Amino acid sequence: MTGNSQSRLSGTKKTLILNLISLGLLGVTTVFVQAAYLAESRSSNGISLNRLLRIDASTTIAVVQASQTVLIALITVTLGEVFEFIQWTAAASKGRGLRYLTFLAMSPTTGYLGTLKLVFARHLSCVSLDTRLWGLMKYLYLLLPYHIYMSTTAHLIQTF
Amino acid sequence: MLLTGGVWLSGIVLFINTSSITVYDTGFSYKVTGGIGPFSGSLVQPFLEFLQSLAPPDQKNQTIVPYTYSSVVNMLVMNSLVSTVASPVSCTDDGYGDCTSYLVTGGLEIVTPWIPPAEDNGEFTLARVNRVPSIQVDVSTLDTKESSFSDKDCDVFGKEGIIIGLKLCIAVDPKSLGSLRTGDYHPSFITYRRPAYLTHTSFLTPTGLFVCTNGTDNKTCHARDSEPFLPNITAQITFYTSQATIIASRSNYSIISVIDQTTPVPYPGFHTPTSTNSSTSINTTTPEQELQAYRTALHWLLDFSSSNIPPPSSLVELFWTASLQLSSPSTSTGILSQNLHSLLVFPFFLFNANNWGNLQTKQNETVEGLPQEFYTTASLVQGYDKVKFDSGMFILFLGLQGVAVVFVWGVLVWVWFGGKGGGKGRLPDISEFPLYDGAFKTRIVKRHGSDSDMASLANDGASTSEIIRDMKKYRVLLK
Repeated sequence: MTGNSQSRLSGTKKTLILNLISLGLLGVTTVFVQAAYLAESRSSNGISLNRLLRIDASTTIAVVQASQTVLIALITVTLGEVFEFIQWTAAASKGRGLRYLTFLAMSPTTGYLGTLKLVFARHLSCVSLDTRLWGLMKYLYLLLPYHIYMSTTAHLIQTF
Repeated sequence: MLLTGGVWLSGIVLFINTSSITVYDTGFSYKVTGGIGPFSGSLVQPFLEFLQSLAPPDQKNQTIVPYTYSSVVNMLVMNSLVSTVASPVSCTDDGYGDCTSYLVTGGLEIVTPWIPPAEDNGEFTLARVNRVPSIQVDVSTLDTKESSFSDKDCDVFGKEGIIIGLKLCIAVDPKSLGSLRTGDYHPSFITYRRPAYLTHTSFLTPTGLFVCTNGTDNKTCHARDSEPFLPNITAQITFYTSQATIIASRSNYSIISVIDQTTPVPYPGFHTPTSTNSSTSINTTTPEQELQAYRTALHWLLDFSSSNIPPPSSLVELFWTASLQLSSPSTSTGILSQNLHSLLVFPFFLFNANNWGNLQTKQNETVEGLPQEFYTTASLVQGYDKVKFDSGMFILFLGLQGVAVVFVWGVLVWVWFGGKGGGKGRLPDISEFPLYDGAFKTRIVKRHGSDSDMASLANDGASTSEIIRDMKKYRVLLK
């Protein structure tokens, strides 16, 4: 492996680990969801159930909910990292670089209102379409999701 | 945008349309006979003759009604050991209790050999009997009068000089099948409103129980002078055959759940010729023979005069003492209705191939020669409550999460293998501090490449709008 390759891998190591953990949690969620289908099928065919298939509804909800919460948090963080890769890779692009306003829109240091200002800037000619889209994406996956997700899941848990 | 929105949306969709189910862990299984088949009129007379043969010589002219049967007749459909509530097929309950349905499976009571005692495989507290024949009985309200029934439809039970008496009418109208097919119900002898929901083929049996409050005389039912009509319960009853898997408690034999019921098929026995198949013979009976046998069975249960049972100890007394309740049209007949339903279902329960009405059956021993559907399996099981996620929503969840995961992997692969040197895909050395990287690792240039006068712009105290307006001309490059 060349030094350049090593640099690329070490730069993305953290994202790689987070993504692998996400995949694991996605697997856990899938196993617990599928367990109900399999248990139902085996039950109707008169086949005995193993320990996993006998796990009750309460434990299933707790595990799936916990896995999902952590999974969504990790994927959000991972997506943040990945967009940062794109941001810096685009800035490193030979000769052209990146629009300064796009750089601001994608930057994690630009907050709620700053991002919205860029997305909904009044004069169309001032802010290009790609800058607005990058800003909107960041707003959707980093800022807004957390609040909506947490409030909705809290409501769902109460309903259960 | 789909990608980013999808990540958080996936956290919500998974719980949409979630339901709870009960699954059963199966332990020991073994072969059994079980279930309740359709009424078999040919069994009635031999069984009654057999009972007669048990009577003492000086009582040979009496019918014998063992306590085993007379004690359970009136509660049959309410007995959770053999019957459960079902979803009606021929009628719809609009909330006024004018449509009821029962599924009579016989439960563990009818299973042979018996279920092992509770101490064997004690961790399995339930028993499941798979796909047993069963009888579903739909009962709907019927607004009719005594005069609507002809004499041939009715039997009067009583004794001269005894004030207790009862008249039971069962009218099987052969026209009802055809009339329901065409949607034009016009029986000649009965008047009632035809419910709009009866749009499919059914074999309806209008039934009326009338209390002879002033006793009987020469097969005539008498009301008290003060009563304008005989106190009564009337109903329209429809029998269906079906198969169902039942779950029952091993400790007290109560049926706790019915799963996997097949679509009920109307029982045609009182309307068309029927064949009874067994492994040894095929018996064909006419509707008249079946109906006559059914009446004979009811006669056996209700005719306290023939069985020499004291009238106050007979089944008739049950309805006779409730004459006040049954004489008021505004009063709910409540359990009395269910007593009547039980009485009408009992011949089906007893005189089917898999009960004592069939003299071939034996105690705790499986017999050969029953129709094939009675041979099934029973299992000891234990129930577990599970949460079941909607499969469509789960696929949507996987799709939304999967797109994000695949996108992250795509970018990582692009960063690792996409381009060389300063080309596309080159990831610069960045720290965990975006502000530091932005300040010291970048160079701001004007669109055509010349360095900017950023410092002067900042010093002028530009507002957000001014920054947006002025900075549109600038690009960011790595140093």
